Amino acid sequence: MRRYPQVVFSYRWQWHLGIFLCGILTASAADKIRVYHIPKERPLAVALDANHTHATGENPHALPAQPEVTYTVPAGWHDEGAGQMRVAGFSIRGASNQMAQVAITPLPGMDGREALIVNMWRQQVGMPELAEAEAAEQLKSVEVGGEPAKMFEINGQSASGAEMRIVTVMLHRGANSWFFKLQGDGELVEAEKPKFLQFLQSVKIEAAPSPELPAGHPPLIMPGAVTEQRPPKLRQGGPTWTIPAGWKEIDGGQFLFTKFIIVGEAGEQAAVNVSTSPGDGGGLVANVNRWRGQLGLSPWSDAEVERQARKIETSAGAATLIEMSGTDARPQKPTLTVAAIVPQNGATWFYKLMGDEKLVQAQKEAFAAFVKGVKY
Amino acid sequence: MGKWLFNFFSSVKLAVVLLALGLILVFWGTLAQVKLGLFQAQHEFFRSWFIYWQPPGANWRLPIFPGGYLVGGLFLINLFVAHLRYYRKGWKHVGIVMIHLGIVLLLLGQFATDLLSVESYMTIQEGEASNYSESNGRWELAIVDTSDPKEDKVIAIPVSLLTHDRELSNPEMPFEVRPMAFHANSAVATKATDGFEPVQAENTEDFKVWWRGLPRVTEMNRRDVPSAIIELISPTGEKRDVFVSGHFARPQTLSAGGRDYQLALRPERYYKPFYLHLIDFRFDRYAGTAIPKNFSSRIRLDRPDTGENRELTIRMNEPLRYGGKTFFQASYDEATEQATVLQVVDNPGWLTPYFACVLVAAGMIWQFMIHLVGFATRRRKAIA
Amino acid sequence: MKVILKIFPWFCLAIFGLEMVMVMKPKADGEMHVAEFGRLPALLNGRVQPLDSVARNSLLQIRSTGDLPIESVPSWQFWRHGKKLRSSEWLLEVCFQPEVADTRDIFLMHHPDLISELKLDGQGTEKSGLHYYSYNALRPSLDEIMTQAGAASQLDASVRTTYQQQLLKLANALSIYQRLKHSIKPEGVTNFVQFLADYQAAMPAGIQALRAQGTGGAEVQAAREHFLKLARTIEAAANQSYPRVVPPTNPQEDRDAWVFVGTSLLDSIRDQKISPVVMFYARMAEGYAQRDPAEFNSAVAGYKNWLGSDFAKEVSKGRAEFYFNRTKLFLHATIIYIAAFVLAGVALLTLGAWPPVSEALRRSAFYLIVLAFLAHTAGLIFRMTLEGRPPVTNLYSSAIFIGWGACVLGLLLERIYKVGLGSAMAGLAGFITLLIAHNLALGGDTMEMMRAVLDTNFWLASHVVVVTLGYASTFFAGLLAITYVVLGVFTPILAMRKEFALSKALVKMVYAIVCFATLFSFAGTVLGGIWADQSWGRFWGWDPKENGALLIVIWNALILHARWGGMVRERGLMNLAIFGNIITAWSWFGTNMLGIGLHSYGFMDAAFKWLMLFVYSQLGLIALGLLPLDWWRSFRVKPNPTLKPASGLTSG
Repeated sequence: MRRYPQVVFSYRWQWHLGIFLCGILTASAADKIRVYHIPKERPLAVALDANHTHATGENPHALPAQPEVTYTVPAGWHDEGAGQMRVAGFSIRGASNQMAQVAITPLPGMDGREALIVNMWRQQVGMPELAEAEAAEQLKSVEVGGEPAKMFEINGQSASGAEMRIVTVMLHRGANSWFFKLQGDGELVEAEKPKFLQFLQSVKIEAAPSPELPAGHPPLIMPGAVTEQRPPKLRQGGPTWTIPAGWKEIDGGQFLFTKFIIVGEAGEQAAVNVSTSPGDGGGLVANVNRWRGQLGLSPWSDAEVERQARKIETSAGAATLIEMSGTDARPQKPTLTVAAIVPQNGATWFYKLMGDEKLVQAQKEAFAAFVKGVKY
Repeated sequence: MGKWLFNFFSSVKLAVVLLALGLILVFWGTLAQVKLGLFQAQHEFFRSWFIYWQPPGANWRLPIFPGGYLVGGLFLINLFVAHLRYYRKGWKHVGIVMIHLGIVLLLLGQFATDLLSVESYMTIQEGEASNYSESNGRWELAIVDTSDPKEDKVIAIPVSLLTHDRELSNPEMPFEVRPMAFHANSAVATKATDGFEPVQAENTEDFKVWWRGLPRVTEMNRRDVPSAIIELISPTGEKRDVFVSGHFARPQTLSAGGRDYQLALRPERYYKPFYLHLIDFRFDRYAGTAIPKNFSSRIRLDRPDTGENRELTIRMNEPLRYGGKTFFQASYDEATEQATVLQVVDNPGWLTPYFACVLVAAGMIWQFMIHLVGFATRRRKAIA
Repeated sequence: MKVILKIFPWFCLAIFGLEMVMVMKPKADGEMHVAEFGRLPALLNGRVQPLDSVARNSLLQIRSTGDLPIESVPSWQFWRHGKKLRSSEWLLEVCFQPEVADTRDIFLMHHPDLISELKLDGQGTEKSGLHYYSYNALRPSLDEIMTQAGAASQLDASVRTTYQQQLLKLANALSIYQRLKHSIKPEGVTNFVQFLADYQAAMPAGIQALRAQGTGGAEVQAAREHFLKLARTIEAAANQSYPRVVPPTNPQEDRDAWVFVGTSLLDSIRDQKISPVVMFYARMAEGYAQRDPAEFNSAVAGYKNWLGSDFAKEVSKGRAEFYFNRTKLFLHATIIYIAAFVLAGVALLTLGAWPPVSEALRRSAFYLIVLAFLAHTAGLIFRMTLEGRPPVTNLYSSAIFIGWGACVLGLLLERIYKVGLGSAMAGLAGFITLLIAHNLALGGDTMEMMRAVLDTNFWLASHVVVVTLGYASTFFAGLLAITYVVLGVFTPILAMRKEFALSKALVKMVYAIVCFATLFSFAGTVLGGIWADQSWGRFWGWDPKENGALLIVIWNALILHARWGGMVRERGLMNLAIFGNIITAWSWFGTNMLGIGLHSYGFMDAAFKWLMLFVYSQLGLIALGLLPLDWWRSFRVKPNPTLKPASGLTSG
């Protein structure tokens, strides 16, 4: 074969190739620590406006019998969502922590049975029943979404002996009767009544699809369904409870079962951490002393823990409530911790309310009630 | 010897042998995908110098077949040397040169792509925005200084550095990091479970955690999730043990030397100087069927430093090329169909195959035409 | 004699040409306008198609035939056409007279175990070894079939036994059949017109009663019950329907929002008006059931009129596709291809012995190939227009296109070397590929919609078409090589000369076509890479189908370099080209069988057996090609004295 003069020249090409390849190899050389700056993460534009209109029911298709109700929520009312009977519910907290609730409940076939209803409510507050004519006198005319409705009010005492007041509005519409109930602390209810009436005016009820058509799709009548979806549930399964007013449930993250945050009027904060552990979770003393450590406090002896602990009765049985006050290392603020330890069926539930001293002080009772009321 | 080598490397026989080896390699590598998955097969067959055979139970392995790099590399050498040996001047041979040059370019381009290109994924929920993409397999330990109200300082340590028991330091780092224990793939439990060990670290005192190492995964659609216990050593010599894990959804916070930090073991992030804001993700199906018709993401591109702000749509077969990177519609949130996953490819050599192909195709057509003309003339003469 | 030989080619062309003309000519409808009915548009598989296509594709999946023979004619009486139900007629019967349709033997079954398991021995009809059974015969075992099929469907496709595959196929056929029965008239309703009248009448009171929610007297309850009974019948049908036959009420808004008859009827509760479309179909149903052509025809015409200008596009699509179904261009092309192949083969064999006859036959074959090619091309273009797509969109159309490409190459070769070889190859390639296509069509609709990734005409037109041409030419080279080996070993023809040595000519052809194949497969593969780069951000991802295409490129390059390097000579070249068939078949079908990768558009389960069979046959041919030259009739050392051997035979 012949050799061409280009050979010499071309060997240089190979050098170039070699250098090129080496360049490539070094460019992707060993992993190194990178340091760089990024702008702050943008806050997410989540509308937290209380005065927004939205529909009830998580999914109009899953609840074929549930009619559509829309309304405008007044400021200060806390949405509690739908329940077994009610299609919507709200809680209201007064300036001095008085509580009131609003519920919207449809009941079939109640037309013409107002007396019965009035007496039902009266019973609840321990008042004597009324004759039909007397009961009818109690009814006043109001409007719900422009339609005529009946209202009556009852003052009495709750089972626990507290002063309470119930304002009930009934609207008969087709086969259904709609009940709008404002109930709670007497003064608070009186104060909230104008808002309640205003709220009623904003209510709109769409025709209910017939509950008796054969199951399955396609649905026969599609009301102008608003298919807005609620934010996804933060957690699944676990115990059920009633969230006290002013508490907001947030994602608890990796280690917590869930977490609530409470923001005071001046912006002071507290948080309730709920967690669970198999067995005794390390024991009462160890946990208490861990919490004390967070407040910069020295550990308690077993006897001291025993002395400070208060026994409470919950739905899961006897439990321990303990309180300690100190200074949180990070914000350097006087901080109060109230914790409950509830043994339940071989596991232990920890509830820890911790935060601004005054706020925690104010929330203490709600917290205790909450812990007692949890159903496992 | 040199002459022998020259003859050997320039021989057509070598080319044929290499083509045959390549054929077997590609066929074998394709079949192996059924068992190994695309990624692993690619790694073992095409991105390797040799294919190894490991006897069951043994801890040594035997190279039994040349891998993609070896065959490709030898092929490159063969092409070069053969070019030197057989190069002939004249327009009749231009085609062959073009074809071979094109093939060389193609091989080099693929080699460069293998080494230089970075693939990552950007997940955006509807109504939200993102300015970074994440690697699908590479992890980093990120220490983010959040004290500055305007910007965060990120120190990203690739997890490969956590595998050595060696202190990691850097002038920018507020403390040294010493890996205490590391699992490249791991499982974490929040209660005592068989086979799991309790984690002993400062941040797990409040809530106990158990962990265990897992074998590394090879399937394409799954990935390793690492966990580690690291020791943070402050300049004054204070030590803190911290447990970090890819299983944690949010970073841990800690303060040191009067500054606030976030600590997270997370997929390697690549920040961009712009935000992509997902306005709407659409998954269209053909009427009355489940056959996907189109996937598309309506995006607002927002670049604060230049003030650029425009809307665009990324859909199947219509990627966004921007800032040297290409954003492809890759996936979506199957549960809600309200989040998009964009594949972000940064491949500096993406144009080489285009040039290569034009060269080869032109060369082939050139050669083909010459043959055709020659054939036609000869036949005409033969008939006449 | 000379005259006969001169006329014969034209005579052949005239016969087949006449048949094509007859086929293409629009045919008059019968007394009942069944064809008009078959042209009506409906939506199925995401596309608008005529009811005839719905019927045809269903019947193909159920019975593996497009029409339903109802009279058995002994197969040796090939001139007699037995009576048969055309696809549209069958659909009419299924929809409007299901009790008759239930007695037709349509469900195809092969598996003896399945047949005895379902206690069907001795029932049904048997034709050429295939067994067909009626719905009534299967009715007692329906539950059993569905339960067993449900269990089988849980298994991975690769581990299913043939019994389970058969069972699943049967269950699928049954489900299609049952759904078809409900598609227009709810099953069990005897008089659809009367039923609709009842429904319309029951609606106001019924809805009122429902709104009353359980209140009201016995009368209200009765009205409610009556209405609910009708509504439930309709809902059952709506949940069971197959094609969507009622066009969208708002075509301007969403042209694809076709609905089932049942859905439309349930929707009518809103405004208490039944869609006129349903009324038309009800009248067709009664016209058909009462054997009243006037009523049936007027309902069909009325509906067509109603569709009018709003749905002009859909109506013309229906007409065109119906015409396409009826002409069966590919079927006729297949017949002509095989006839041409036989003629060309005889021409080749008589080349030495009887040249004038050979030439006459060669000419006939060439004309027929041209005719078949025209029919093939017409079918291809018709399909492209119907789909609005480039020629190759799925495995079925790739088979058709490969045949077409091979035919082009064959015609070119025949123009250059006028010995009948090109025609024979074109005929054989056309026949085989169309046969493969026919079998692929049994899976259902061959014009299904393109999945999102593939929904791009530009890349379908460039990458897919070019790479398919690469497949076609590699196959064609392999086919020529097979011819070389077969003719060389078994006949003395290869050693003959006309103006040229046939063996030399074949070598040149194979070499040229391998060059051609290299160009196309390389260009196609690279275009695929560019598509991938455009769509997924990587030029090359080692996906099985990409690798398959790469294998073809590598193999063709290997053949060329082995030839250039003098490593192989003629026979070696031929054997390499035959092996190219294996590689191409693997890339075409084998890669889809792996069940991985992005290109799963042609997934299939049962073809593996055939692929292996093909591979073994090719290996056998290669073994044949490796026989010592002494064993080759063409190249025996002692040449046949009647033939002039070609000079310079240097086969390696």
